[in-house]
Formats: sequence, structure tokens, C-alpha cells
Amino acid sequence: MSEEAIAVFQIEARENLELIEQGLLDLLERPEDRDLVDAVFRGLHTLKGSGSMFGFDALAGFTHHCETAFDRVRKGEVAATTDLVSAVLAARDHMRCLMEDPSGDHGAAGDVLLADLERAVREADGAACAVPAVVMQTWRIRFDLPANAFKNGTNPQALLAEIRDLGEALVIADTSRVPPLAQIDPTDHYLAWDVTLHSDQGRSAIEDVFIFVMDDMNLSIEALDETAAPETVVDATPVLPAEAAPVPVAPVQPAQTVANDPIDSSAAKTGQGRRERAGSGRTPRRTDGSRRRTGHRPVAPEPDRHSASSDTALRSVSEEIERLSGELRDTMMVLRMVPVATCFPASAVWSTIWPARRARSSSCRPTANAPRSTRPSSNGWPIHWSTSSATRPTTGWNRPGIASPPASRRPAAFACRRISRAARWSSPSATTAAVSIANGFAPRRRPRV
Amino acid sequence: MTASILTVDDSPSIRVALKIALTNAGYSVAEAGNGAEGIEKAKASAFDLIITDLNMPVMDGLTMIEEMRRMPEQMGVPIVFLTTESDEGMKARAKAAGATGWLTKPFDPDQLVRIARKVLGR
Repeated sequence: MSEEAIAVFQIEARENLELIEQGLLDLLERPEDRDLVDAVFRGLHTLKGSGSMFGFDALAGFTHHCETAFDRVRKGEVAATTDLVSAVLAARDHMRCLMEDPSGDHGAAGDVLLADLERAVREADGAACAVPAVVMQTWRIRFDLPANAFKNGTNPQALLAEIRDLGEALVIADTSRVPPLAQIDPTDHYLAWDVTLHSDQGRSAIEDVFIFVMDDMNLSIEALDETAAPETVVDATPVLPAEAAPVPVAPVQPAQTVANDPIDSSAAKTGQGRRERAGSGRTPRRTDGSRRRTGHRPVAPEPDRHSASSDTALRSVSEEIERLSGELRDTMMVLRMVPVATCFPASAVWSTIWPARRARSSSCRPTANAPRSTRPSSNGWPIHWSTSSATRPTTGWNRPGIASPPASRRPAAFACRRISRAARWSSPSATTAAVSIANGFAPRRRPRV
Repeated sequence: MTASILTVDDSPSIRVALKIALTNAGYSVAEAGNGAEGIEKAKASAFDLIITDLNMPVMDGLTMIEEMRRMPEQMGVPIVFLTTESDEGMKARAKAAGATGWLTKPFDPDQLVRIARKVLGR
């Protein structure tokens, strides 16, 4: 932090401390004045925040205690008694020391002041200082967002995540307003949500979740039976308009499973879909054999598209896309094929590769009088290579420290066998792919002509 | 992956304070001195969140928000503006222009980071 920035902070902090002092002195005369209480709280809050931002951690930490005490005064939990205000006034002087001399040793003095403050708060609070019992409450929250929510950067998933942070939540998406595919504007928002929340947080905490969109949205927060757990209210009729068609929810679904499901329900999944993901442990279904043909893992599990919509037109489009993508994949596999037999007769291919294989095999053999390497291999295969540099190439399998696989498992040998076999299968006009064979793909077997 | 945030403010000290708080929270931060510069920066690279002041020379924050919402690539990017408690009228205008949320001055680093996490969802 530059000295200039720190100087600016200190000037600001001095002004702030003067305002705090003036507010506290006025509070001694008018302890019921809420504006004064708010002004002092704001001053402490700002001092703490800016102190932390500019590296005055001791000041920020000490001020935090005073801010907390005054927050209770602000909320009406404790009265602004003379003792309490005097304790904060004394603390204010200590804050100035911490600001002017941040490297000094002020710990002991600070502890005494904080003890005085704590006692003053306790006396002002009386019996109310006891920790209030946590009361769990069940809330039914229904909300939809304005159509331009996506465009303006509002993320429904973030809102739902915030609700889940408040307690156990059962989230149901209402997809009844989603228009047919042809009428969907992808930048518009069509979903509504019905959430059953079991939490120890109050209404204001729930409203805070929607603070940025509250003016433009429909939000209903309803307190349900305080003793009811979310599981017991799942069967209750959702708070939805009569014309809406909520997604059915199974009554036996434990709320905890849904609440912790990392797959968010904001993607208009049905309640049924979520149950399948959370409870049955089903594995991705792949029936088109693409993995077998391509040798690659599918990019993503195939979603259960058809259960998400009963729209036959949408289903038809989906199937058509699936068919076209399958054809495209097959075409790409054909493009990877390099015709060998049309370029070289099968015998020529074999005669080209065979000497190389023989040469490599012979060079791999240890020489009679050269000592074998005793170094451990890094890949588990025994090291067969001679340590004689004259007989040891420096690339490929026999690089120093790399053990050789058995000859039958080396890629070149493997490819040779596959090519040989493919040549026997193929007629001169058949296409066989050396590249694909070397990559481990079996050529399509063709009947002899 | 680290979220990247663009801060737009004509006050260097505010930009520094924003950068310190957001960087400490693990975000990657870029800076711009006014709305026009902010638009140029947003065109050059994609940001996950834009935090802007409203009163700035050259191009104010309100105009910048309107311009950005007209750009397809900026549609959906959260924009948070800095305001004061007395600025209710300006708050409504900024919301109408397409802002996602606001942060009331004065604010401390915790508030800033909390708002960033709220709109980013992480």
C-alpha cells in the first residue's frame, strides 16, 4: 500500500473518529435518538472496513467489537446506556492510537477496554444477553424472475444456491410457462420456482437473497408449521396458481438428498429427473455403439432428454439431431482411414515393414558380452537393453531408463500383425487404414471376393 | 477457475481498494478509468463481473451499462454499480439500464466480496 493511500486513509479516519465522538457525546444527552445510533454505527462500520482495506488490522479488529456492540443497540437489543456509550468513547480514543501508531504495542490497553465494553453491554442487556434458542422454521417460497433476468446478468442458479445455504431446501421447477421450442427466446427466462425451506433464518434473510431483483419479480414467502420438517410438507399442495402445472414430486423423496444434489434444478429438470439422479445411481446410457466404434469416451453422458418433455415435435427434432450426429461421427471415422492397399500391394506393405521389424528385433537383443542393465525400469517391464552404447539406439523404447516391453507388445509389432491380418482379409481394392490399425482400430471385415 | 472482474472508476484510490479486496478474495482484476475505457477493455477480453462507478468523466457508468447491454457478447454479464444510499433515483435508472445489482458506499471489503460472490454464484 502506498504512503499516499495510507495518508488519505488516515485523514479520512480522523474525520470519522471525530464524527463518532460527536455522535457518542450527543447520545449521552439523547440516548433514544435512532439517527444518532445509526450514525455512530455507520462510522464504526466504515472505520473497520477501510482500516482492514488499508492494512490496519489491529484497528479493524478492535473496532469490530465496538461495531458489534453498537449493532445490538441499533437493533434495539440493548439500550444505549451511559456506561455503554462511555465505554465506546474510551474505545474511540484507543482507535485513534491504533490508527496513528499501528505498529505500537496496544494489546493490553485494548483488552481492558474491551472487557469494560463487554461488561457495559451485559449490564445494558440484562437477562437478554443469554443466547437465544435457535428456532427452526419451514418456509414456502415461490418466485419467478423477470423475462430479462438472464440478459441483465441475474443467475437463477446462484439464487437457488443462496437459498440452499440458508438451510435444507426442496426445490421444484415450474416449467408450465415454457413455450414451444419455436417460440422460445433463449435470452428470456420462463421458469418459476417453488421452494420449501427448513431453516433457522428469518424472513429478512430470505428476502436478502432476492434483494437485486425483488422490485421486478413475483415473490411470495410464507411461513409454514414451525415444527414440520421439509419431508412432511413435500406432500402439501404447492403454492402455485391453479392454472399452473407443477412437476409432480414423490412423497418419499428425502429433502436432504435434493438439497445437496450438485446438479441444480434450474435447468428445468423435472422432479422425477432429479430423483433418478440422486437416488437410483443410474449410469449414463449409450446405446448407439459410438464408444465401441470410436474408441473414445463419450464427451458427456447422454441426458434423459425424452423424459423432460412430452412435446412430440421436440422429441422428433432430438431424434433427428441424434441420427445426424451419428452419421457425422461415422463419416469422420471414414475420413481417418488412409487407403493402403490401393497405394501399395499387400505384399509390398509387408515386405517394407518386415525387415524393419527384424532389424529392430535384432538390435533389441542384448549382446553376448555386454552386461545387462540392472537399473529398475520405470514402467514395470524388465530392461533387456544392452548397456553398450554401440548397440543401443538413443530413441524409442531403448532410451536410457525406459524399459522395453516384450517384443510382441511393442506398437510396431502390434501394428504389423494387424496389417498382416487385414491384408489377408482384404481384396486388392479394399481399403485398409494403416494409421487406424496402428491406433488400435480393427478394420471392417469384408467377405472374400 | 479464477473469476475475472473489471472495475471501472475514475478514482485511482477506489480502484486500488477494489483491487486489493478482490485480489485477496482470489479474483483476477482489471481496471478502467471511465466508461469508454471499460467498454474497450470488455471488448478486448471477457469478464465474469463488472463493477462500475456511475459518475465518471468521458463516459458515465449509466451510459456504459446501456452500451454494454446492447453488445451481444456482454449480454448476461453481471454488472454491479457503486452508489450512495441517497441515490435511489439513480439506482432505479441503473437497474432499468440493465445493471444486475449495486453496492452502497461506503462499503468494506467483506461487503464487496459478498456481493461479488452473490452475483457470480461462487
